[in-house]
Amino acid sequence: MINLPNGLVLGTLLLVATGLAACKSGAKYVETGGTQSVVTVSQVDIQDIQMASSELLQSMLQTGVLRRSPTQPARLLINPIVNDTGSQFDVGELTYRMREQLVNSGQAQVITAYGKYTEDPAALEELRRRSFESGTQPDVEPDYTLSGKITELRRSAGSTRQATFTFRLTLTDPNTGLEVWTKVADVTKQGQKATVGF
Amino acid sequence: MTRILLSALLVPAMLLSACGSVNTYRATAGDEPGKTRYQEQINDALTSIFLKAEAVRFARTPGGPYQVQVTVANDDFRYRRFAYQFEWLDANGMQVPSGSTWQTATIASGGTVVISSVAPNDTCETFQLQTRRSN
Repeated sequence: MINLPNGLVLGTLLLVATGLAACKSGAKYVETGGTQSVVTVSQVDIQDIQMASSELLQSMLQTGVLRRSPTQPARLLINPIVNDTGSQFDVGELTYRMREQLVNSGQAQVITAYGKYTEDPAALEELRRRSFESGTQPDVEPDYTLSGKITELRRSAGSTRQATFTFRLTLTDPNTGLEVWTKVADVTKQGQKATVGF
Repeated sequence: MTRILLSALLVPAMLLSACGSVNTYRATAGDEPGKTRYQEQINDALTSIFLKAEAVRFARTPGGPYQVQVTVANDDFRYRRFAYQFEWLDANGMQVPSGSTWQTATIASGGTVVISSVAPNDTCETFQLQTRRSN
């Protein structure tokens, strides 16, 4: 039997308590989409959207499809992306992440005032007014249109549930109606209940 | 008492390792003479999570930006799951927004997986790879 000083034992127990507190605590800020995020099985989480948008964006950059556009930077018209999953979220979370990279790096321009796909009604109104006053047609035609769909496939075995969310995007050349780029990004999650971290 | 003390030290050590630490590796195109050098250094980031880099490829894509591909192998006797994140830096060493995020990969015993990333623009020639054990 080794006699240990009480101070050492108390200090060790304090270290244990501190260590445990470091791993488990109350509300705190975490990196968005980081490895400490909440992971659910049957819902689309922020990290799923980030993973999918990153994969889709990298595919678009890798193929160089935007470099082959007749105008530089390429002009994109974005259709509303269809959310065909049981998870409620704004699909703009997906496209805006891609747009941020493409537009800010000068590789694409998104047309935000165009017919029924207008995101900025004030810009469209102003565009029409100026067009009327000058007697000319607006010269903003898309080089590509972006469309897409998000679907899910659920399966379970006993108490273990699995969900695959499929994010698919397509670029179409409106001059030909032909698809010039397409990519599918799958995110599959499995578990019995939501957890923290991955 | 000794056992209690040892247990008290072992438990937090295990819990803290479960929280996970991140290993980081950085490389710049053209700075290093060959692929072997990348592979050795990426291995430093992977061996601590019981994985190894079998091959590292670093080349320009048809679209222009650089792409890096790392073939990661699992020599262990069980599945290994890990998280990784690529980030890209410009010539001044400033991080360039690339929309990159933490991704996960699972490798069966004896298997391999290829992780890759494309630079956000043509000027990025340095990438940074962070790895973190997930199981």
